Amino acid sequence: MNPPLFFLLLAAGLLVWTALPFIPAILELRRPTDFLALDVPEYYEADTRFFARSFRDHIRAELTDSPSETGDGRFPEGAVMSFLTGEGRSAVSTETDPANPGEALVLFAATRVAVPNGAALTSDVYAPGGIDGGEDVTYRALYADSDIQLGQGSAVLRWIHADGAMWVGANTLLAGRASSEISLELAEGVQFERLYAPEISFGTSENAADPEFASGPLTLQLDDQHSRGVATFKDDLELPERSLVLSDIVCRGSLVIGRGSVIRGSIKAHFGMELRDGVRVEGAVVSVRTLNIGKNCFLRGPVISEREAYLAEGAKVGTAACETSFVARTIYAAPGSVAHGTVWARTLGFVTPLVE
Amino acid sequence: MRRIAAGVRSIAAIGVMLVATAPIQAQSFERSHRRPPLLLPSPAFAPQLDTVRLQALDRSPQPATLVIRLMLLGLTIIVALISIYSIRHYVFAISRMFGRQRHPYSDIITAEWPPITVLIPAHNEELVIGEMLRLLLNADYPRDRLTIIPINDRSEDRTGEIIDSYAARYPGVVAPFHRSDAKGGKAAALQDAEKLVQTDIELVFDADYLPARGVLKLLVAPFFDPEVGAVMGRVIPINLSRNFLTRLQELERSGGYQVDQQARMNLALVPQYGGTVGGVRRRALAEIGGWKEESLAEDTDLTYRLLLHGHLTAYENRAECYEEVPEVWPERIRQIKRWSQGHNACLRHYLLPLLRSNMVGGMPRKIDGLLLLGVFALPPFTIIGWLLGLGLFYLGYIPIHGFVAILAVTAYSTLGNFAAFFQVAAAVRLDGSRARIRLLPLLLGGFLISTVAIVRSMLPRHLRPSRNTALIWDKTKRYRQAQE
Repeated sequence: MNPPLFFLLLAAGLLVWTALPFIPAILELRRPTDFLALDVPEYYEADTRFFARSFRDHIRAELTDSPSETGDGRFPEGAVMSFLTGEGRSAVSTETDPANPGEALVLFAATRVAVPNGAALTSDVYAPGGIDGGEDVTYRALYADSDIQLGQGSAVLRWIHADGAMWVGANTLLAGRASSEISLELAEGVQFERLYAPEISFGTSENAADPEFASGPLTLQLDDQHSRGVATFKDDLELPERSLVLSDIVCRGSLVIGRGSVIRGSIKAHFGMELRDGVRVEGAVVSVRTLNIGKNCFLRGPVISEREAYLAEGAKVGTAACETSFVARTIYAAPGSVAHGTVWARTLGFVTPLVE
Repeated sequence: MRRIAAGVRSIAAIGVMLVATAPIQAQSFERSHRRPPLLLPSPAFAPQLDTVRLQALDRSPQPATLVIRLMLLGLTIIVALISIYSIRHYVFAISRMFGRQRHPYSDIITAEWPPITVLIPAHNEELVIGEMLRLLLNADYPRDRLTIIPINDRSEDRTGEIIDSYAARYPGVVAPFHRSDAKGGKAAALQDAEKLVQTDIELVFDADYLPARGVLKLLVAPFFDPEVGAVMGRVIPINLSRNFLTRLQELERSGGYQVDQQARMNLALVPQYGGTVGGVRRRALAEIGGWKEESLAEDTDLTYRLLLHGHLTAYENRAECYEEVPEVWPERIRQIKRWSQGHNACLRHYLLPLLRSNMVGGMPRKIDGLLLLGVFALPPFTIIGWLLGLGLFYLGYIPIHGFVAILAVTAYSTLGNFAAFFQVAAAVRLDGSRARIRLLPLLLGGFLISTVAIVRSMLPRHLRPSRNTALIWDKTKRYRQAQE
């Protein structure tokens, strides 16, 4: 091949090679297919009750007539809605609409119903009258306008919400979100992800007591940063028992707060934090690593741990009047501990057996 | 991580080879420049030429040799610098796609929310200020803990009138601040408004933004951490369907926030406060001396002053807010120049303090802080690198022979120029909007224009404005229709 021809071919080849990625670009530019602004949701869906409320609103909007206890209803999009009644346990069904295979079956329980042991409700359930769940029942999603009781060994796959109180039997798995407008009581062995209730009780314990706070506290000697409201420590810090701290504390090492101490501000530690028994913190608690919350501690503000958090017997997070958030990668809550507001275990949370 | 380490080793090896071969290469010039000018060396013959050169080493350096050595040294430094930034882009993208994601504060759903003040600097914003106020008043933040201060900064349109109408309808919540005869600029407006702020947390929104209902809580949540001095949310262009330019900017914003900022949060580095859709703790602001009125990039300036004083900036990727991006190139170029001037002023002010500091987070945070400071200083180096490469080639000099040359060129052109594109691609994937990725090659055009704009902004006449020059608010044009 003569050199000019070779050069021309090479140049043409290079040109085509270079132009290749520009072809889809120019096509997209001339005939846009993906040109809408990214969606910014108006509501932040992290609220534990978000899906439950959306489901409830959807059902209520569709149920224009009062539901009958004798027949089935049909949603506009073709999903079948079956009715559960107190006696009609046979109405618990996982059948799908033959005319619309694959469509979800919504179960509607007009009155309070008892779900038999071992049942699997693979449809979303709306139960205005509430549910008494048997043992080893599997629920996909469940909304009740009143109380819910889940038997031991049950499993919730997506979310569960009660406008009333909710009791969760031992060794139940609460995957996804579980919420109640009144209270949530979890027995030992329950595993959970996201919880919300004005009062969340992790198991029961007779030994839980009111926190014992310092009556004759010592004042922590802070450096000149005290005036700015933050005391920063570059190394590990261990506060003695019954200390009183008026400012925030930021500790770049590990932080140990002595028994019975009172912290008026917020505290943060980069290398783990231990709050010994009876510590009271008025502000937030932030631990970049593991967080140990001792017996009968009281934490008023948000509690954040980027790793594991251990909540000992009798510890309380938030108050009924001041709900807060307790967030960690993994949460281990001992029987007798209580949280008010949101509890969010990013991986999983456990109600542990009591360890003496 | 092994791949990253291997990449780092390869690039380091190339750098070392470039430096190590410098004397030999410099000598080779003497031989090559004596050849007929049109007879350019070819990489294919490089090994043989090198053999000849090695035999003809001249021990008395000539002026031309010195020039070549300097050019080579410059090119080596630039390649190394760009490689470092490239690795940074890759590390960020990989962290975002495969690493552990840190959103420590976004799960604070319920809390006793503190009182806050929202500041909205507005200079001739009649087209957008009404909508902004309406959306803020619709936020799910407790109304009794919310104060909104729209700052009517010497506006000559109906901005003041619209603000006053909202103040009349929402007394105790909307508290307007009118500036008529004062220093121009957003930072000066914010600094003046400080005297009205009575809460420890203040959020700042530009007047053209469209905050979602839950964004205030998301931005306030990080302040429960006593170490956090500032918070930044994510900005999303709303007018991307307008034209080619807006679509390119949407891609850049995606890369910048979805990957770059969040990766810095993941890796506990230096997320940047962006001046809007964000907030600052007043206790920390007072400690660092308030807003700097003369700063063109008060956001970057604030980030570094906070960092040097031991306060962290948190990035909240889920605190999303719409904004309008420039729809015409002159507007976009002015914006880039403004950012570049402001950012490079921060580089001059904070480079040495940062190097000397013993900051929280140690060396990784310091290195990231330094690299972030230098992002607007890099384009001139890129252009100089190209010129040096071309110059060396046309001087008849083969920088390094054969396979190594290919490696070096590959490292420079792909890592150097396209690593940021990889980051944008990762961001688009994370955003779940796949088809727009097709536009990625066209970012090359935007990249070149930005490079030229930044270099022009660094020309001497732009660097040191006269002391008598008054700061003007060179704000971005609005395109939306007025809504009250």
